[in-house]
Amino acid sequence: MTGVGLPEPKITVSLSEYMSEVRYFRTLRDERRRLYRLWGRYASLWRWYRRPEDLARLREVISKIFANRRKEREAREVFRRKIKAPYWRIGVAYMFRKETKRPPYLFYAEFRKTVYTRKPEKYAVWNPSTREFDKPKPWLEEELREIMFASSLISRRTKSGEIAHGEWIEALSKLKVYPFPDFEAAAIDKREVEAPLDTEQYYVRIQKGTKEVYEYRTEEVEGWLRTYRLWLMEAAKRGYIRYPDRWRRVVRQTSLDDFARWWEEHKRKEEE
Amino acid sequence: MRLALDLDRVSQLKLLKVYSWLAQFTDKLELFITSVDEDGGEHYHIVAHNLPELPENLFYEFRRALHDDIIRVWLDETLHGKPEQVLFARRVPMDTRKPRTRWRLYSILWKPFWSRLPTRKHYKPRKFLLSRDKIEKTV
Repeated sequence: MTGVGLPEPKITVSLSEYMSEVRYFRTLRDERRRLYRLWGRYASLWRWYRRPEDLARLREVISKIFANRRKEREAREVFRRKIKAPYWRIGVAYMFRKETKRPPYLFYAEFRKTVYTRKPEKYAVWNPSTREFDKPKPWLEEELREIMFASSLISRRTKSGEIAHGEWIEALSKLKVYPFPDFEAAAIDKREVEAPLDTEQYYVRIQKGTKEVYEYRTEEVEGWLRTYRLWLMEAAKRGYIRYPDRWRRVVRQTSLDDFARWWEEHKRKEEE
Repeated sequence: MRLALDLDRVSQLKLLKVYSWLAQFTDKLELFITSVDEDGGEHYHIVAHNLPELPENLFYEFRRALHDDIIRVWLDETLHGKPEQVLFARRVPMDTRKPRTRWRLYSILWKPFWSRLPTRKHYKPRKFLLSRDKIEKTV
């Protein structure tokens, strides 16, 4: 395609995508075999009986064979460029950074979720026109929101009663601009796989100024989620929350803007 | 080894240079354009697969030599435990807040190389075409 001796751009696909393509070629081949058989049959019928409908069928079958070969050629042109990639990394991240010189102020929040997998189609949506994964499955994003909510819930008050460091929604709601999830789907090498396959890896980084840097890894974030679920169960048991599953779903589907708005109202009510 | 490059605001010539350097080592290359700035600065992603193995320190040097985003290289060098060589396929910038996807480029020569004058004539009449009249006359 480039035509000057440079290599063609390649398309990385997952193993299952590749095999589905292989299966497609197999069906095409089987279809063609059937058509070749019919070709012989109608040709002999036309030869012996000279019926015009046999001739019509014969011509139809031959044109079908040509269409079949054309289809295969077109598919193979794309298929030639495809690379099998056994290992994939799917990542979703909320990243936010705000820095002002005067007064000196820096706020950085990052909520990242990574999955290493052999089947990226489980976590991402394949776009056939661009031939790549360009969107996460909605539940992946929802889980990230749940983590953000859980962290906010836990960090609201420390045992001494003061507001803890991780009050990121406080910082965000002042600024009035909220992050949106960025998405990554990359075919990676085997040695780049840093965690067991198909298990979610979390990374949270909250930074206030240059010195106050708080980093959290998978175990801690899982702990947050566990305490969040326990809190939810407890609240349901006591009757504060009537339908915990529905409540949880609403949290998952609430956008960051709505969450910040809710937080502002919540604060105002507390003050009153 | 896989190499993912994030080329921010590079010229077409620099892009070609990096691409053709990589093309000497592998034929499995992917090329994307992520965005174009208002003043014409262009942002590209290049992903190279099946590159020969490199030791870690040299690998980061190599990336810097290929004009990768230096902050990104620095992050990969210092912050371990989070995924390295991240390239976002879908990015939501803070200013517009509209999701922006990158576009795959099927040819590295996707832009014309502008020059003030053509290097040579596009069409050069052949000798035998000129002499056809003579031939007809002689016959």
